[in-house]
Amino acid sequence: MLHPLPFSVMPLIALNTDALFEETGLPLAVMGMFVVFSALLILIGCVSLLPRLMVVLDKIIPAHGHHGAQPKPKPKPKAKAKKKEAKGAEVGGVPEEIAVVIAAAVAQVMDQPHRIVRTRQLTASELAWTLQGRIQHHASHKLKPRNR
Amino acid sequence: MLLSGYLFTKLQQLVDTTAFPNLELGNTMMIIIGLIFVYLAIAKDYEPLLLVPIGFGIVVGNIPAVPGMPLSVYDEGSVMQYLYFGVSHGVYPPLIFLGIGAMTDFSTMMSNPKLILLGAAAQIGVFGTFAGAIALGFSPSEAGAIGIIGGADGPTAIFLSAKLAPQLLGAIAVAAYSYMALVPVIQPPIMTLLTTKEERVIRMKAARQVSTRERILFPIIAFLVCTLLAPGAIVLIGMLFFGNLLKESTVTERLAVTARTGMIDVVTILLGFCVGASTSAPYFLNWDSIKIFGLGALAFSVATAGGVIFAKVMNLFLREKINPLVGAAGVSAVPDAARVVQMVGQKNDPQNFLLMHAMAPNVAGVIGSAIAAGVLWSQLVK
Repeated sequence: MLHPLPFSVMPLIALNTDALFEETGLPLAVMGMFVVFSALLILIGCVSLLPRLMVVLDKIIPAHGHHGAQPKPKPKPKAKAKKKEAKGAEVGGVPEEIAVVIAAAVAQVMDQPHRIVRTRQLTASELAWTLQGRIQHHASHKLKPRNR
Repeated sequence: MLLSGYLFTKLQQLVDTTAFPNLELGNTMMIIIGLIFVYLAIAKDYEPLLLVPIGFGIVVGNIPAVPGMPLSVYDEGSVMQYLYFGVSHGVYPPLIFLGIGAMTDFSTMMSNPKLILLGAAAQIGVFGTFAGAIALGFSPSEAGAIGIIGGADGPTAIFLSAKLAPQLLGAIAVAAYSYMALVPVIQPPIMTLLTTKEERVIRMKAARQVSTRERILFPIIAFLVCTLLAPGAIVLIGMLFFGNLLKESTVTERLAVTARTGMIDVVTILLGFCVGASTSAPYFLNWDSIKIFGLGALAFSVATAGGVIFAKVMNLFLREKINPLVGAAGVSAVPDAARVVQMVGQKNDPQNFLLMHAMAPNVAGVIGSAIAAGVLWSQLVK
């Protein structure tokens, strides 16, 4: 014969699945995801169109410096600089020595036959990679006081 | 004899006016937790800027008040309550967003717009946890406030819980900030589990350069798009993009510098300290808080997994594949989640630099979680 348990067993976590299907349950969660995706999709559309808008805008209102200041005309290359250019050998716009260093660095990283076809100056946003590398390098030998 | 009786009475009175008679086990436990936070921040370098103010605030908030002396954040007229006003009425979070806007560079996101979707996908953590909290018996308002922990955005979590469930604010704020500090611990196993070695070593193309004009127009356009769709996000998104406009306009550099340095530091100190001080044991140590901490961990994990899985799905349709690790940065813990992506990526390929790519979904996640908060607020406010 089975005897009833002397105490009632209370579950630690009681699940209320009925509430899930009410208006402020799963339907709201789905609607929320829909709104977030819609807003960010529209944002993607706007951001993708921005470069084209810039082309049109630059034609209508050419980009000037602050407060209507005209951009400074590029200084004419001086004869001295021209002479120097002719004197020092250059490869792809960079001095020969630098080109050799770049080629050596690339050869070190690439493990397959390769050919450098172009070199160019890094932009400000690309320099962030270098910066991150420097931060990591410096952080890797950060000294900590012994008494910690 | 008379003198000793007098001294004894005075000594008794002195003891009664100390905190010891009212010190309970719960207070002691919370003081230990606060000190662990401070230890983790100082010794282990876990988000020290957050954990030191919160940890010390927990210690302060758990020294029992003497009856008749208004001391804690819950005592009417106490100095602490005035400081806590910024938390309980959602004043500090928008100011933090102003500072975040003034220090955020959206150009990485603008140069590769498809990565914005990862910031949206990670919001599955918010709405998944919202549904989970309802299933666990929380009211819809409380569930909304708990769910936003999955946004991995402390100020947003505080803002929304102040509006929807002020009674849970302490637990939600501490859970949100604790898990934000634990991003480097929580995320890597999930990222590794959901990706293959080949996927983790995918290298992504360097992004295009964004012009100054585009950067000036972006906060204005983004603000209009986001708030017209989810007006509830005006306060947070408005301050975020206002701060960004200060930064990008190039004519308000002084204001931008103030917003991203002095101002945000002051508000972070006050916010962290007050949140910690609100965890007084009688208000904090209960079954609901434990459930909130459990749901918070679930929210973070689901958000991370959501971002990574969505990146893998996107790869099915993209010609130029994206590294799925970047999806984990969709949770908006800026910049920790992006740093974790860089760290995990470099473990698999030391020459792979994912940081700047990860910043795109990371900042998109900030926008996404603010929109999610706006939706929940507008739908659940009583």
